[in-house]
Amino acid sequence: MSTTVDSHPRWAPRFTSRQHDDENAAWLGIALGVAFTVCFVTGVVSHLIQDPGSWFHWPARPAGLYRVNQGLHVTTGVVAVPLLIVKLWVVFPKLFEWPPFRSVAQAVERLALVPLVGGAVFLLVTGVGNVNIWRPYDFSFRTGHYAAAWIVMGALVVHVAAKWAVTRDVVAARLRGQSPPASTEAAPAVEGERPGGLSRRAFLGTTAAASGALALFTVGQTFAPLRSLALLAPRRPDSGPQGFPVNRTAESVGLTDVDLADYRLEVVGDGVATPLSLTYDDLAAMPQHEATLPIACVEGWSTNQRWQGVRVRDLLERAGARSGAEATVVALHDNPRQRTSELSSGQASDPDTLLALRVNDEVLVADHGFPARLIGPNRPGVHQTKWVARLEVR
Amino acid sequence: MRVPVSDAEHGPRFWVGLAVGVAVMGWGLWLFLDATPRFAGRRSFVLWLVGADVLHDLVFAPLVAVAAWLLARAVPDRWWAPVHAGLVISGVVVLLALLPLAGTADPVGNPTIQPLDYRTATLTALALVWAGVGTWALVGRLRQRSSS
Repeated sequence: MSTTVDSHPRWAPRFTSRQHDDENAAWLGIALGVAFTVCFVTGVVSHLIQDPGSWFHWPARPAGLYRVNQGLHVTTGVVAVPLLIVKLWVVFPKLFEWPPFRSVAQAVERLALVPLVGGAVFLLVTGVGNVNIWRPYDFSFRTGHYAAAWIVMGALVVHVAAKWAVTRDVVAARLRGQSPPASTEAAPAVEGERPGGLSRRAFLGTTAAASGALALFTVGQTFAPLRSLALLAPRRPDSGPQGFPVNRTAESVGLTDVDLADYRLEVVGDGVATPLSLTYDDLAAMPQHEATLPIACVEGWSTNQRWQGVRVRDLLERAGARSGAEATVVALHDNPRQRTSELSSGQASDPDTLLALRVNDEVLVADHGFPARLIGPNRPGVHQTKWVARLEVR
Repeated sequence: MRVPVSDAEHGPRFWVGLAVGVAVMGWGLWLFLDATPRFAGRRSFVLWLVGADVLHDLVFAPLVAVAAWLLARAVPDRWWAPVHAGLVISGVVVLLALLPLAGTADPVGNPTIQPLDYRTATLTALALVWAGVGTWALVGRLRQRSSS
């Protein structure tokens, strides 16, 4: 319920803005609830794609689904930054309410605000930090961000259960065209407030504009038409060797200068009748196909490129693999990070899943995976294995 | 007048929500502990979770409040509404620009991360914000004048 002046101890600061009220808290709460739910669902999907259980199947189509999932996850997280800051400011006086609780239920409810507020700030800070390669903590980003997401959603369930009635009253009153009972719009300005302040509409509009501005200045990292406005995004889809970004550089895995004389692509494993060992020239002599597919990073940037190379299914067929075969793609380097990726049977047989030798009609540069890289529809960027050495078929 | 915090919001719905919420929170905590056996990692996680709350409430929010209070007094009443709006938007723009401005990706040796000159980029973003806010304020003034 509303913060009232008389529930404040004398030592607490006086808040003179009329924006500290239930209606603002309700609207911002609804917006945050939606934003965090979108982030949570897209985040869990992304987590399952990278670390699937036996029950989880991620299809090869639609080709751009992963790209949309990650664009939505990151953009919604960015949009939530102003929503959270403003929401916490609206309810800030409640922090100084005295006595701190009047019942066990209220004590529990307020205690659950610690994981809710701490966790929400944690998720946005670590999320924005991660895409900017800022990880000043002693745990894995993926583990921490994922676990904190569950903690925040749990705390959010508690919070929603506690605030359901007051929020429903605000929405219901507005839908009827009335001012909610606890609204300050009809009430006189709070004592001590300076004149000329923002109306409620302008205050919430400003918050929406702040979220919109952050979206506008970042979404171009995945939505190409707005790329020149991606002023605050850590990536530009048009910036990098051959015109698009790199996640893993060739230098970081020691593959800046692969000698084609030594290079062989092997197609091996229990699933093939005749193992193959192909030179680069062998690959280049096979039928080449073109596919326009996105590189879509878990970090939210993505870019469509035209890839040319050999269909994986042609390679599997040549090796005499059974239909419905699955494969593990193995890179030339020994670094455990992003060394292998999995191709489901749907991915392996998709006509657009290529072992690409070229991009936009140019031979791949080392940073994009020369001599050959995997590119397939609807796969996270970290699974588009570069510098491919081997397909292990089963 | 307004009602102080009541027990009305602590009916059966609250207790059911609490049970579900605590279970989900427990699952999240278990996920982390299971994947992070090291004490240092666990301590870091808890410090970050609680620290985020404490830093927001005791450092970030008071600093912003004091800055806003001072700025509000420096700006004439008739301009305060658009300036206030512009400052809120500028604030979050600068917040998001902090890590690129600090060049946090520089040590990685991958020039495709943070590829821009972020001083120019941030100033450009702020110029766009204030152009938008200025237009909004001007349109508001003109409308006010034509309606009165």
